Amino acid sequence: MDGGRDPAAASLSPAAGRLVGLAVLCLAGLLWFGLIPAQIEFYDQGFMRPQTLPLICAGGIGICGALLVLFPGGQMGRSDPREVLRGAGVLALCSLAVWAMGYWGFLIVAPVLALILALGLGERRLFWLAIATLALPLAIWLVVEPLLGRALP
Amino acid sequence: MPPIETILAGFADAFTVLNLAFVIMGVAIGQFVGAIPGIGPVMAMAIAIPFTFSLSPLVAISFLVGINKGGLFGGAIPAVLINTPGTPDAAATAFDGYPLAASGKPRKAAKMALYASVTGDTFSDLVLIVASAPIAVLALKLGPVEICAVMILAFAVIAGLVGDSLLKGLVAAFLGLLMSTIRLDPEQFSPRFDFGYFQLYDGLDLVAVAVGMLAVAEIVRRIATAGGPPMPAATPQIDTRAAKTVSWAEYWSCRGAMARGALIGTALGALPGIGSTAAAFMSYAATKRTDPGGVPYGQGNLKGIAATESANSAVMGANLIPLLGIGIPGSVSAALLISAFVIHGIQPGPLLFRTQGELIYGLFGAMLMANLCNLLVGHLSLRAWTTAVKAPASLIFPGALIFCIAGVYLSSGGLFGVAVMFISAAVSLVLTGAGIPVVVLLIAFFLGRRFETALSQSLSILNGDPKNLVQHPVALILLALSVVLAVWMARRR
Repeated sequence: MDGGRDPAAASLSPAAGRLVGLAVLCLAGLLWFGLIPAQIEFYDQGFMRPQTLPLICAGGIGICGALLVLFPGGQMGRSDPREVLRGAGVLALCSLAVWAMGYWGFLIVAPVLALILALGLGERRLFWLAIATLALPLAIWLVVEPLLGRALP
Repeated sequence: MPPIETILAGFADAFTVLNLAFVIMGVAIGQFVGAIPGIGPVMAMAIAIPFTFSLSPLVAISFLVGINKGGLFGGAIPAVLINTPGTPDAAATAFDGYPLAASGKPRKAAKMALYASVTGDTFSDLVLIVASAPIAVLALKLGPVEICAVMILAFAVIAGLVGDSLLKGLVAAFLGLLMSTIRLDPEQFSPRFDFGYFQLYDGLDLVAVAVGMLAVAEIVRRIATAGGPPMPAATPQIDTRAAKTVSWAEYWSCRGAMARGALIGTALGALPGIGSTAAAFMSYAATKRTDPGGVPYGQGNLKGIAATESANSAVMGANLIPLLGIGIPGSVSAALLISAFVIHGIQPGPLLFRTQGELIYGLFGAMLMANLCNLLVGHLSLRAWTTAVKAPASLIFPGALIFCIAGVYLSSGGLFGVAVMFISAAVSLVLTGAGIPVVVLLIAFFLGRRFETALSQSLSILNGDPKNLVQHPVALILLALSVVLAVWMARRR
């Protein structure tokens, strides 16, 4: 969260560093040639046009990407493929929960989401499952709806 | 400098029962979350921001400051008790805290951490109160060209200091600025990167992005990596008074370590980008080198605990110097305070001292009050927090995730904001995996709108010709300094 080094980081091999640089360079290319022309209406009057700052950023990202390819360095997060898949699964589950909340509401979907996550974390004790699944979502609902007077989905 | 009546009125606003109640609540929440490894005060602040909507600006910001201050000490509790720092900045506290706890004195170690934390924090707050107004007066003399140059200097410094690669820091800064352009163009009012969603006309929700990148990403990472080694058991306690308390003589013997830590923490905290972890390690190393104590370092020396805790806590107040003085956040917690200011309709920066003097001095009063509350709550609740250390991950992380969903739904007014939060979390995980510092991206994102305005005004003033910069020597010096610092930091890497 600050300037300290990430303890779970590993030194970057030159090849991996170049790969990161290449990915950054590709992102810059995608921005410059694809996203910016498609998503911004170009103007040619005035000093500061809608496309000025996005193009500066895309150019900056491209230059940094090229320099990273030439001079790879730094560290990157240590990642186990199973953990990456698990993380992607959690995010997919959360996205599904957001979609479901639009139909069935917070009070139905939040306990189910909490139950799946708690089970996924290896919890099998009924007491803790009940707290995570029922007590926490209910407590949040009580704080937001009756106490703050705001609506949840 | 605001008139004395404004200053006194601000302090009077801070010392109300309602404000005191929220500061105590904030400190208690901060200590609690700090004590749970994996949930730090920054994550707690991000989650709490949406719940402060219905509060007055001073009470809301005091509450958030309370969380941050409480968390600074809270992180030391698991570092001392189970050798697992609750927050990265408490890592150095474990060097001497855990051996002291393992020798049967966990409460002595935790109390030394508490006293040192409050001492360093109070010193830093006093420096903030004295220094920020004069800096703001100077900042008000700067025009748009100079402000633009100051921001470029800040980006260069933050990009160079956070993380371990200047180039990756710069990529993060450009990405943050790019994300801030997702909205209607401020001059032509044409949509940019809206992808057909009208909700993006006003830009990405600050809170949704912050909560997604900081809190949700960390929760997902924790859930994905769950199943690691079990937590070590808490240490036993010798049941004598001397083993449970820190005497005045012991506290006073650590004055040099605490003073050194407070100075290092304040100096580093005032510079954008250098975090409390670096301050804690530097202070520990400096104390170890210059102040040999009776007990060897690493084996339960109280000075080791005092040095690290005073330094990492002193960073907090000093972090607000660039925020209040020139409107540039020095850390993520300061950036989160910006979003709290913004959702309450207040634009942070040097003008605050002129337009919101009472609020600023109210904030200063609340910060001093929070230090006192930190001491009292820490003293009374130490036993309760030792239980929090043992809370199961299966309760903490699903609960925190549901808090994030509810909070962002409230702040953004719909499920679209929640979707933005999860996309931000995914982006944060990918960037962190590639070693690109998300903190830099967030700070650039928070500053993006102001930067674009300042750049636009600067281009108009310069008539679009960079040669006209010679009429702005301060801006030229700042830009040259940015280049020199960037090259210097890149070479050092």
